Amino acid sequence: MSGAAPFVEQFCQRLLDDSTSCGISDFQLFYSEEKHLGDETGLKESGRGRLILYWRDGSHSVHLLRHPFPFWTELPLDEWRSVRCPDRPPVPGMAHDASAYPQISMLDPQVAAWVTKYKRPSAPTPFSLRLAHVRQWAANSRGLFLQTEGTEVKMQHVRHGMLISYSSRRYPTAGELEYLQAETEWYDACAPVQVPQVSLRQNGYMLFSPDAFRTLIDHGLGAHLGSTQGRSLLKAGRDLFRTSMTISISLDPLRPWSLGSRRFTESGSPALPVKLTGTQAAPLETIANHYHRSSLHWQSDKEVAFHRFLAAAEHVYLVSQLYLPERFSPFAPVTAWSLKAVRFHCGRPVQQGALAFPCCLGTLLSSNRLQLVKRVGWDGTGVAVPIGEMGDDS
Amino acid sequence: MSLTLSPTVMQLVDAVLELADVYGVFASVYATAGQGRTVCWRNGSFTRRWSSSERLFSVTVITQQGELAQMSTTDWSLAAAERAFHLARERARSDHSRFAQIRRLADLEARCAPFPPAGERQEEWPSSFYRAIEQHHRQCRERFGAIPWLTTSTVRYEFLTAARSDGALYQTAVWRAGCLHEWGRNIGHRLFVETTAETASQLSPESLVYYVDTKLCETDQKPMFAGHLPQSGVIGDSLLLDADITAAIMFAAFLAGTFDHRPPSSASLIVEPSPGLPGYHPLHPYGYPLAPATICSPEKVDQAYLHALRTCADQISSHLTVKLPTLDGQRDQSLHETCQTLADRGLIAELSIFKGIERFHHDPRSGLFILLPKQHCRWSSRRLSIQPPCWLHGSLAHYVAACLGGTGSTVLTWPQAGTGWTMSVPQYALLEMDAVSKEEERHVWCSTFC
Repeated sequence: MSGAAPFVEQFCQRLLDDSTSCGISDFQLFYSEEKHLGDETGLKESGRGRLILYWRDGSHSVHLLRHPFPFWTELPLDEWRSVRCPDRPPVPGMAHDASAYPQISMLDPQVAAWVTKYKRPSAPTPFSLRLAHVRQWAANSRGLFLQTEGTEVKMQHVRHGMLISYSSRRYPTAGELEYLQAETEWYDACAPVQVPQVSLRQNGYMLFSPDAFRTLIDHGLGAHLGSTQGRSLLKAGRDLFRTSMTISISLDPLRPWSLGSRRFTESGSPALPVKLTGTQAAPLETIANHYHRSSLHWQSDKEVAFHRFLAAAEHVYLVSQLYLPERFSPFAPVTAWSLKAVRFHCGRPVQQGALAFPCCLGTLLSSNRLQLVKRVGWDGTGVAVPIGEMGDDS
Repeated sequence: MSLTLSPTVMQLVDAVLELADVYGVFASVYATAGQGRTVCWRNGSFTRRWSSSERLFSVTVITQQGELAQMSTTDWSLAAAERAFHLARERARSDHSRFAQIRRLADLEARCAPFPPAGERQEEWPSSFYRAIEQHHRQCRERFGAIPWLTTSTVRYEFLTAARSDGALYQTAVWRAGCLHEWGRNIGHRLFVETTAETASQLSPESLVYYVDTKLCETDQKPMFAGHLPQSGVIGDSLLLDADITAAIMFAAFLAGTFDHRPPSSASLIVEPSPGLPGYHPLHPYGYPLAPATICSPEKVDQAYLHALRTCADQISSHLTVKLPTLDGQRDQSLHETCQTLADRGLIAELSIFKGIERFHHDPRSGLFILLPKQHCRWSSRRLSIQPPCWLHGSLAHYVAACLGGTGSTVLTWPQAGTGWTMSVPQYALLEMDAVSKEEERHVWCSTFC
């Protein structure tokens, strides 16, 4: 299946040719086509895109495109004309030089072949696998035409869920698969007690998996970028995020094999690392243009391996998935819920159950004893915070 | 529809059914073609609007050996339809659960009334609907003062087709109009309503406006404990949950499969896909019409139909009625009178009452949930006192099993914003948490640190 590739190019050419007669002065197109292969869902193809038309009378219209990329014999101009809006967002910019767009490793040809041929690889059985092959296009009327191809691999344990998982753009190596298998066996051998609710100790560490920490940042900081009110809230806390933090958060689309890696943004500009915190933090408009939840990454001086960290701390609570309100203020305490939190005591898992705990994002990020934790299978690093410094004011 | 070079739905359907005859298999085709227009208003003025269209073509193949598979595609072309058929035929494997679901749907088909004929031409978009919603948006804002308010209104037209190798053919059209209100500093509150109709002219904004107004009346009172982080609370054994919470818990239990195994519960679940009700969706993706039926009752559970509804819960929507034993005959009683009546009947000594939902998270796989209500009151010694908010946390199965009965009039509500599913639940539901399993199963969020 060739997919949308020929149609996108033809469509852009037609719009360019017909624009003078239609009353369209500029256009901007973004389209993403995905093929998923999952154990539960089977093979699924989907696509979504956005077409912005800038009309000569100063209005613009936005059209959402769905899979498959539409092939019109006659452009539906009347329909498009009927949904124009009077205001005018910024018109697309000129194409950048081809060298401005980064070359990053995003495509694992083996995974792409599996997805296209609808053949599940023989992965270790206790894991459920979800593969995806993604193609993206960005084009505008000022000479821009970009396309890129990438793959995604997400594995999680059938029973333990996100506790033992693997997320990346490439398939795990034999060594990594062996490690995941060993972790499963170790976990099953330790057999933590299943309790309905895990009790929290003040002298322990809370270890957030990268996905859980991303949820925290996304709902606490990223969700405010969309509204003027939210942005003024972020501006008010700029000093906090500029100076007193041991961890620096940024949008890093260039990290190889990370699920958040990309070559260009939806509007066609080259993908760049953008700092959210620290003295060189970018202005909020730039952050909003480049924002994508999976591109969130963070750095700090203190980094330690997973099992070493578990052995060093007496009580550790590992949280792999967090439920939070869609938007909350980073300066006020909020209650987070984790479905399958695990309590480790001197390196062994002893309890597993649901955990609800209060935390305040601002206090958490300014903790001095914050550490980053590396683990095979995590896309990014986990974040460990002493529980007393999570910002519970009660 | 838009001027795309695409075959008509009947061409695709005929092509697939012909292939099925050639290969000697049974095929069932389900196709939806929908178009929508969404308009957004913020703080009293128009922000933007956009149009969207979606199409789905789904083929289910059952071989003579009883193996089946389903393939769906959004590519509306003959090549894709044929490819979907061939992929389904090659990957058919034996799946008892789905086979039972399809057999059950076939049995229930006789109960369905015939659909009115639907033409393929759609009518004009009801712009008067949007104007009415815009006016209502402005009224709401005036009422609440100058707080940020966002209203998103979507009108969708769906044309549905289902056809099978045994000659059955259904074609029908549904107009859907929904409205999502979000307001408050840091957008704390959210309200979703939807209505359906057979023709565009029948879409009435009045029912949506009325529902939203009633809900807003309830949230008019300023919360007494705003900004107070929810703490522990002694909630006792008897709980009274209002319609929003009951619907949320029941719907989460439905999605999690709690009703499959018939917990010893007094609740009955009835699915009613009828054109007048908001969550109407006439056809099931397996190619059969949705029939009204009791899917769960204290005596038995219609497992096959329940599975059929649940596995496609994100593609279709319908109306679920939750029936609980009635605890009293009076309607339109105030909360205090309700508690008084329950106490007089000897059902309760003390009662914890929870109203409204501030936050709700649930996990379908494990059947656990956590809920923060908007209001928490306590009734004891014949007096109602307001308490600080407190989390409810536990397993859905346990809460469903603890339902004793319902009281008050029936309320129609949307348990999950964004989906079209609606539920009818009693105004209040009384739960008696089992004293024996108090330690293990009833969970109150405790902020004590041990």
